Amino acid sequence: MNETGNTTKSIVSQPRVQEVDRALDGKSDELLVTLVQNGERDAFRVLVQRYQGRVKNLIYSILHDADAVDDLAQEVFIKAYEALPQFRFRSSFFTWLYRIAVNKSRDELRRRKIRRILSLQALLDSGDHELGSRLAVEPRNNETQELITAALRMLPEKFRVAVVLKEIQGLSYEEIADVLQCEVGTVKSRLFRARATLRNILKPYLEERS
Amino acid sequence: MRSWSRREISELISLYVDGELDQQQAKELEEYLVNDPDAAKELRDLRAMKTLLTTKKPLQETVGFWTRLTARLDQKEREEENLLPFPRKYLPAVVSAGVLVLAVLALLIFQQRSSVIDYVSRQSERVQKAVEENVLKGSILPLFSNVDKNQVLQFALFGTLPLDAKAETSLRVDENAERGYTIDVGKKTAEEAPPVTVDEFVQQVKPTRAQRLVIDSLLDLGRERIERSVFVAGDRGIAIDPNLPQLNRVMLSSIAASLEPVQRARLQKLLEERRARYTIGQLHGKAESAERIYRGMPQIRRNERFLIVTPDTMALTHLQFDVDSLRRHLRGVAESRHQIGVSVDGFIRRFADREAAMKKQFYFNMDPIRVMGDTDVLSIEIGAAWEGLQSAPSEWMVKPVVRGSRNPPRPARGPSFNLRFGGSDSSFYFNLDMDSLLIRMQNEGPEAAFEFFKGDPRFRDHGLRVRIGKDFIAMDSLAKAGGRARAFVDSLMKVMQEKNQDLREQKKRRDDDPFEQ
Repeated sequence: MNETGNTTKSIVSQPRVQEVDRALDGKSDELLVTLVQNGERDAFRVLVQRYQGRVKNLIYSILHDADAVDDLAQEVFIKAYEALPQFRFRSSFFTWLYRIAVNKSRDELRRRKIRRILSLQALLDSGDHELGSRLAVEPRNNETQELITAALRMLPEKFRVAVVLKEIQGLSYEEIADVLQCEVGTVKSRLFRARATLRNILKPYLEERS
Repeated sequence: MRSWSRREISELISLYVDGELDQQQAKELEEYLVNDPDAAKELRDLRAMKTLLTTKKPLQETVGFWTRLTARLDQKEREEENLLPFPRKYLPAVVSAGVLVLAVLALLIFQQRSSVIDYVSRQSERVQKAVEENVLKGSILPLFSNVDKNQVLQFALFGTLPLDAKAETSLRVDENAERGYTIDVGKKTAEEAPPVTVDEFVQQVKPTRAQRLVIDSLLDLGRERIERSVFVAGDRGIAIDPNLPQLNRVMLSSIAASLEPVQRARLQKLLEERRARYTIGQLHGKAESAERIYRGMPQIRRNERFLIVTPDTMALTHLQFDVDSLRRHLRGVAESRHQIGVSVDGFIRRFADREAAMKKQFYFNMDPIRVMGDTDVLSIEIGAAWEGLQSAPSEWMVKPVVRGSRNPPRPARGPSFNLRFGGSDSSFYFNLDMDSLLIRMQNEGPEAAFEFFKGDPRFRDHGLRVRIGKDFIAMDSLAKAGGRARAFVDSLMKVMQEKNQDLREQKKRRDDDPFEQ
């Protein structure tokens, strides 16, 4: 018998997959990682189920492109699956996973920057100056959500990632330092500067509120 | 009271809102804030920002995330491990036939059911033999290679594509509120729309030169997509991309979107005259930009999920077809098309001629997908809510015409055997109807059906969810199973054997008395 559940109990009233998931559900990340390292893909499914929402939201908070989130999240988990055999538990699984997600999102941002430069030229050549605005991401109905999205978009990427990890993902300073592979002091400094910038961006909102 | 610089105060406030100051530091800051209204306001602002950020709505969960992820992982693993152990001397031949071999093997699993175990244990031998005997050459072909733009336009407007030059046999896709999408392959029906050529379209709709370019590109994209959507393996099997019916609506939507309102009205008139299945929902609104239209076209993915139908069974699986290499096997276009048309006709007849089912119509029941056929038409129904369908545009430019039901009423379902793998966010469907198992058992004894499960490598590491009638029973992979599972399968086999016996007796009675209904 292994950790994936009761594999010799052959007929059950519920689907086996759900049974396996239930059996693995309460297990710690570390145990699940060990199982994945021993070739149990079921354990990886549980990890994916456990973290896919958070990973997708993290990517979305950095990229603000709902269309790209799913594909990028897939890449994050594929990368994680491929790298798990080398995972040595020097950090927690989720900060390690977040690190992959942050790096993938940054790569995507960089890639888009290059593409934007190229497409800008194409835009000027074609004389279609409205194209950019027409292709813009559709507006959200909810004003508050729009406000948050707009404010986060205006933050420099380094600050944005720190704020997202702290305020939206709820990580501690140490965990953020682990994800970003930097000192806790750097995290403090980035958060401080991010907040100062955000406060400036959100000034009209904050004044109206007060 | 301590004195701090403005920056130090701000840094402390930032730490304070995160609860990162120790008790002493926090107390000092709180005392300080009483006398510094600016700093107190900064604290209020930071708290307000914190609240604001925590109200950020999480993204909606997407379905099928795990399914797609496992498919990609499997694909990567396959690529890395090269699961087929080819002898080195055949390597050049195998590499050139590469993807084709995999596709043929997938079909062979379902086609040569007596050899499933054989396939698993001796797959290298099988591949080797296949390469040696050169049987692969020309055995799987795209059904719609070299279709011309008139035919692609016909598909975009009316969802039909002729299989042969005489257009007696065709493929038709349709969308129906009740049944979702359907794909019919077979004899032409009387109410099929008369063809429209690109020239006629241009004369009637009068697109500008720029619009013609956009539409021309759309037809090119559509042609490529169509070519990669249906493959045939002689009269032994057919593989269809279940997303094909959506392409009809996407293409028509895209064409309509490229037109200005007045041209759209002309297109609407054309559609009405020819009794098209879609009507334009949005006659007003400016023409969309070309970029936007192209982005709306479904992308061709490397690893599409195909529905494989053989005369005995049906499966849904990821397959990669190297269309370029397949195309090279086509000799003369007209000759190949004729040959393929003959193959498809033969396949439809074989599908309809299965002995054990005894009726003219057969059903492979699977919740979202159903295949049925008679001597004229093979028909596939795909539920509109099936998760495997590609995400549709948020707003369709065209909508289905509501008319009386075109298809004959659906007869009652026959006994079936549905298998589903996966968890709450993933599913892989595999279907065997009872008939398939019965045929197997009739020919090879009850053990054969059991061996089928055991032999299919995909069943080894998955749980099985079996549906018989209304009941669901889940069990471990039969390869791992013993004891009670084995007993369960044995009892299942007995039930099926009895059923088989009944069917045999019914057949005998019918043979003896052909007038008995």
